[in-house]
Parts: sequence; structure tokens; C-alpha cells
Amino acid sequence: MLRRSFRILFTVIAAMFFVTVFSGNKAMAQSFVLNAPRVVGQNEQFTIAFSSNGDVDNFNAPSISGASVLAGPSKSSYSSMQIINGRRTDSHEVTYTYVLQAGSSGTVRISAASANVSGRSMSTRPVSISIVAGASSQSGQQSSGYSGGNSGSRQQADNDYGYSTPVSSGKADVFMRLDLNKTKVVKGEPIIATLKIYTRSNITGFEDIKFPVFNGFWSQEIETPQNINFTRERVGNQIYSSAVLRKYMLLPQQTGKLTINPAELVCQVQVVSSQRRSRNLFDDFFDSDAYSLVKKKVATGRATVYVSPLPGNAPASFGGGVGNFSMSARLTRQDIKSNEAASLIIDINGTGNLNLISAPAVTLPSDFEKYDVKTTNSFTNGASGASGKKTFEFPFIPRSEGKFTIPQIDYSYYDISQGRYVTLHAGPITVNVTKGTASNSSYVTAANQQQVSNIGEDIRYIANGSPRLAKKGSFLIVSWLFYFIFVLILAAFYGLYRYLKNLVAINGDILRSKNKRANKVAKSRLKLAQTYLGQNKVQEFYEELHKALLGYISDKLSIQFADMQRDTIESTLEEKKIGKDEITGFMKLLDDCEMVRYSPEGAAGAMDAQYENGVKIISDLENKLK
Amino acid sequence: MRKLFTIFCMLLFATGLFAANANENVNSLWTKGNEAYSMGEFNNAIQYYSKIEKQGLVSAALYYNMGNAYYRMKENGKAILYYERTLKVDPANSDAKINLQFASAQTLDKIEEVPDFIFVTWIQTVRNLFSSNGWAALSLVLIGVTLLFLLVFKFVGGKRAKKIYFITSCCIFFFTIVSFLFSVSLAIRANSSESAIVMNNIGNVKSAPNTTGNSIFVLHQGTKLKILERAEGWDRIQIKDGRQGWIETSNIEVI
Repeated sequence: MLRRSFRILFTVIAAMFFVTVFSGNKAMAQSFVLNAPRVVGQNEQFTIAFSSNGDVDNFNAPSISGASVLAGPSKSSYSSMQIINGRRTDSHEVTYTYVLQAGSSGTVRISAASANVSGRSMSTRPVSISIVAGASSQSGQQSSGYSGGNSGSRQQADNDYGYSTPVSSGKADVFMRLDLNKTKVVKGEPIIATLKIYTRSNITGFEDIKFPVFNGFWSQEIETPQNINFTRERVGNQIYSSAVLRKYMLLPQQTGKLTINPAELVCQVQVVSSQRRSRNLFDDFFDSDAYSLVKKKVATGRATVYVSPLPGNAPASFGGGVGNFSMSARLTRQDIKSNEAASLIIDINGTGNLNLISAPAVTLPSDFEKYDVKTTNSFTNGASGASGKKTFEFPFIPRSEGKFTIPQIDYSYYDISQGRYVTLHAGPITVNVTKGTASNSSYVTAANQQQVSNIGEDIRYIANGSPRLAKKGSFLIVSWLFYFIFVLILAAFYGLYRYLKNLVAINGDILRSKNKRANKVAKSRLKLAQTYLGQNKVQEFYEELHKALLGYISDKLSIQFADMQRDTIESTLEEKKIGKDEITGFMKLLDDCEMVRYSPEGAAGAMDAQYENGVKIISDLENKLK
Repeated sequence: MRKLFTIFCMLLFATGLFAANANENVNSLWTKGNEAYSMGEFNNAIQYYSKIEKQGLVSAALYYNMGNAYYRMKENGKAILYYERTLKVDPANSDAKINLQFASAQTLDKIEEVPDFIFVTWIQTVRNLFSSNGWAALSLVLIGVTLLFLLVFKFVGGKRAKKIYFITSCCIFFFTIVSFLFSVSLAIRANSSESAIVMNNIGNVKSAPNTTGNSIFVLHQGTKLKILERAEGWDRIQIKDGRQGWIETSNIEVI
């Protein structure tokens, strides 16, 4: 019986190795580890295995207390060689296995074992396994939880050991739990929620999985195992096989009491039927117990999280971060040239709600052309939220050379452990921009011409000059002064008018007396002509008029009578600045007189007018010739 | 000549009287106020300016500086009130216009303005080019020019020139009348109390001049309104979009 057990046990272990090797034993670094269950039942038989991926010399067996060694150490080794696309991969495994039987109570202590693995001395860590009194494991999980196993073969092994399995179909031997690592948080503080199933029966499958709904949280699955690996865990006084179904990171986005709706799941559980079915030979031979599949619905309880709001005194630079962060800022390169792209890199390192933090406010110099911020996440989600680095890249192109300063960058976050806002500082950073390549220069001139842009707007400054105060309600238009000045102006006008009028009158008198005298002169000259006019003697009249005109000119211009030529008269009169009209008038009158002397007919009617004309011409000339 | 000289002396004396209102004390208050403002002590500046105002003296500059000080104290209603008063005294004050825009931009009420007849707007724009005193002085100058042209018309030139002189003097006389009327209109406007500014943060406008009346609408600090009628403790007002109602006198301050 025992021998057979061992044989089967070894096939199990071999199968397990097969799995481990193919599931990714790619790392060639030497390892030497102990695989052992965490809890065992009273008087339970179990195995522990020391395995290594190299050649092992000098295996120093550990000392084991609290359990009796039933067998071991037995060494087994396994090696494989693969050639894929010409690349050769060797793997080698050496395992030392013990079969132990736990004592009745207390803990099983396995001290450190050491070995020389491929020439390097290595040792395992001491392990203690607690013995759960009064409980016996349902599923004889031989291969323990550290490396996982194959549930199918596990079942077989279990039965072969002949454990008593006191499981009835009615008992609550399967349950599901949603564990939260904390239930009282501030807004934005990461919570790790673990959805775990615990069983003491054998589970063959799941149906109708309803995962929990996290209303009011930002949630992210951080562990979604493809294979459900059971490990042993102690719950109360019982040993259960437990497996993680999902692991979430939750960031509360609302405050107050937040409830997580339960998850539900239907399991197919193998349970021992209470009565045997028809006892045939094969049943008896292959199976000592009868099993039946039962569907069992399990659900988690309603979990409640109390989220308190962040304190109200958040600094202006608060970027939504809750956790513990540090900040660093740098430029992508030191030799920045104008018109060439560069970036300001700001790293936020730390743990907390890194996924949800926003970029810090950065004021790049206004001569830089700015572009959208690029965000790079490089963090892992762990037990205290995301930890790692979030990188903000602020790309820019300086458009002119010179020395620029990026002012100090402030960034605030809420520190959970200190319970207050912490402000991080970086910079100020000096950017020395040198002149870029010449090919860009034409663009530079175009880009440098810009409007004088307003930085800010404000009201105009106060008036500083004389206030020019006046009595309230007093206006020039209703003041006496206005009407006084008005009257003054009228008076001035009137005065001026009178003065000018007087002046004109006096001037007019002088003119009048002068005319009078000139008229007198003319009349006396034409006295004889007037008498001839009265007697209507045409010939004599014109003769006399002609004579009088010439005589007047001769006297006035002191020209000898003998020199009396038309040209002489004309030029002399012009010299005396007599107007052209008057000269022609005079000349025409002379011509008229001469004309009548040679053809007297028809000139009689115009004699009156000619006389008046003569008087006028002589008085005009008299006025003008001084 | 002697007569002219005495007239001139009298003129000088009269203008002296007109300007002599600003005595030493007022001048020092003015300087102190400006100094306080430049030091950023706006509250003190307001106190100095108010002392001048309490003596019954006004000027565009005084109102303007008070408006600025209130603006800096973030008392928007008062700031708007004083800018409006500045413009009432001197409608051509461009600084006050700009700052009034700043202050008005921060008021809560946005009221669609019913536009005036375009011709009226034009006339008002021209009228607001100068203050009342400016128009008065201009009208005096223009009447002088008119009379001068009349003299020229009377005593100089030939027939055609005389015609031109006469028409010119008629035109100038027309402008004289216009500027006189503008001056009178601005003076009347400055002395009228038909506009007011809401001073309280919330002023309920009721349908009747008593507290039991229904509230029709609510005005906020800094809104300009027109006073149509005054009753015991209540004013009948109209806002720019034409709506009317009664508001408690304590809520508003006349410009």
C-alpha cells in the first residue's frame, strides 16, 4: 500500500515538474527552493520538496521537528534539452523529497537546508508549518500551495491515501470572500480588493460568474489568473483550499459610505454521496466512495468602504495625487538651439493613485512654441496602489535664442501617512538657447514678428494733474461770466462796427470833396462845350470837346500841344498808372470827336451822353492824376 | 482804449473768481489722496477724496480718482457710480470710459439694450465730444467769429466776396447755436438725477411701491437704471431693455 502510494506520489511530482519547466523556467540563474504547504491537518501526511535547477552536490538535509519523517530524502532528477531555430536550451532539475506525517499539534519546523548548486553554495529559508488541531484537510493537496498543482491528479492522490472526508452535500464547505486591505480611506487612496474562493470540497468548475460592481470607484484589475491555483489556508480551525479569482485596485472617486455590490458564482462541487449507489464490482474496485456533482451558489457579503473627503485647503498646485510622491524635472538635452524641438521632462515617482494624477502646471517662456503634454506611465499596481513613475513630457520649440528661465514648478499631493498636503518643488530651470542653423533663419524673422500681446489688462491710472474743482452744479453756460462775456463780445462788435462805419464815412467825405473839385475842373473846361450843347451846334460841340480833352491832358501831363500824339498820351497815362478802362474810354471819346468833325451826320442824338462822358472822364483823371 | 482796458481787467477778475474755489486745504487733500492711492492705501485715498467732495466741490478728475480707488477696493457698484459721475461732468473723459468698461464687465446683470434712433445716437456722440463748459466756451468763440465775419461782410470786398462772407457768418452762427444748445443740454443732464446705480448686491424690483408687491425681477450691484418717478422710499425705475418696476431708494444711488 505504502509503496504504491509512493509511486503515485512520484508521478504527481514528475507531472508537477513538467508543468513548472514548461511554464517558464527560462531563467538560468541558479535557484534552490523549498515547496511546502503552509498549514497541515492533525496527523496528516504531506510532502515537502527541495528543488533546484542545477546540479546539486552536498545536500545538507534540514532538521525537521514536529513531524515524523515517513520517507526521504529521495532524490530525483530531470533534464531536458531543446533546440529551437538552432538555439539550444538546457534545463535540469534536481529534487529531494520528504514524506512527513504531522504531529498532533503545534507547528512543524523545517530548518534551512543548504546545497552546492552548480558550484554555488545556496540555502533555503527555514519554514514553519502550522498544524490545525481538530481539522483534517479535505483535499489531500500533496503538492502544496507554493507551486500549485493539477486538481485532477490531486483528487486521485487524496483518495488513494484514504483520508476521511467528512463532507456532506448540505454543509457550507464552499464560500467566497472579497477582502479589502482597508475600509477607511481618503478620496483617491488606493484600496486592494481581493476576490477569493475557499473550499474544502473538490470544485470541478464555475458557472455564472458575476464579478463585484465598484460603484463610485475607479477600478482596475491587477491580477486575473488564467489558471486557478489553490493554496492551503487556515480559516478558523479549518484548513481550506483557497484561490484568488481576481485582484483589483480601487481608487474611490466619491466620498461617504460606498457599498460594493456582492459577487456571485455557481460552483460545481463534488461531494460524497451519503448512500452508495449500486454496488458493482467496478465501483468497489476503483472507488471506495461514491461522489455526486452538486451546484452550489456562493456570494460575497456586501462590503462597505468609508471614504472621507480630502481636506479643503488644497494648494493651487494640487494635481489629484494621493499617496507618496517625489518629483524631478529636467530637459531632454542641454544644448538647445533655436527652432529645434526639445522637451521638459517631469517625473513623478512614488506610490499612490499614479494613474489619476494630472500634469503639473508649467509656464514655459512665451517665446517658446508649446505642444500638448505627452504622458508615459511606467508603474506596477501593487498592494499600496500603483507604484513607479509617471512621466510628463512638455515638448517645445524655442523660436529665438537667449537665456530663458522656466520658473519653479510646484506640485502638491495629499500624503496619506502625514495626513496633509505636501508640495513638491522643482526648478527653476535655466534654458540657454543658442542660435540654430541658418536654414531656419528666414523662418525666425517671420516668427519673431509678433503683435505686442497683452499680458494682462487693467484699469487706467488716476488723474494726477490739477483737479479743476468747481462748485457742484455750476456750469459756465449758466454762470454770469458766460453772459458777461457774451455781452462783451456784442459790445466789442458794436464798438468796432461804429468805429469802422465812422472811418468809412470820413473816407467817403474826402472822396466826395475831391470829386467835387475834379467835377468843377471838368465842368469849367467843358463850359463852352456845354453852351454849344444847349444851342445844339454839333460841329462846334465836338470840336470844343476835343479841344477841352486835349487841353486838359496837355495841362495835366505837361505835354506840349505839338507833341500830342495818341501814342504819347497813352504811354504817359500808363506811366501815371491810370487804369486801362479809363485810357480806352478817353481814347474812344477822342476818336468819336474826330469822327464827328469829318462826318457830322447822325452824331447829334448822342451829344448829351458824350458830354456826360467827357465830364466823367475828366473828373476821374483829375482824381487819379495828382 | 481806456474803456477796452477796464473791460479786460474786469474779465480777468471774473475768471479769477470762477477758479478761486480751490483753496489751499482742498489742494493738499487732493495731493494726499493721490499719494495714498499710489501707495496702495485705497481706503485712505477714498477718505481724502470724500472730504473734498463733502465741501460741495466736484470735478471729473476727482470723481474719476474716486472711481479708481473704489475699483481697487473691489467695490464695483461704487466704482461704476463714480465713473458714471465722471462722465456726467465730462462726457469726453476717455479714461473714465475705459475704466467703466472694466468695472461693468464684472457686474452680474446682462441687459439687452434697446437701441436709440440712429440720428439721436449721432447727435449724442457729437454732444459728448466736449463737456458743457467746453461747448459754452466754443459757443463764445463762435459768436465772436460770426460777428467778425459780419463786419467783414459789411465793410470789405466786392459783391461776390460779400456774398461768401455772409453765408459763412450764417453757418458759423448756426454752429454757435448748436454748441450753445449742447452746453445747455449737458448742464441739464449733469444736474438731473434721472439715472442711478444699484448699490446692493441684490435689489428686488417690485410691481408696486411697497414690500407686499410681487417681485418682478432682481438686479445686482453695478447695474445702471433710469429713475422715472420718485415716491416715499421707493423709486419707479426702468432698466435698459425697457422693463419697469419699483425699487427701494436705499438700494440705489443717484449718479
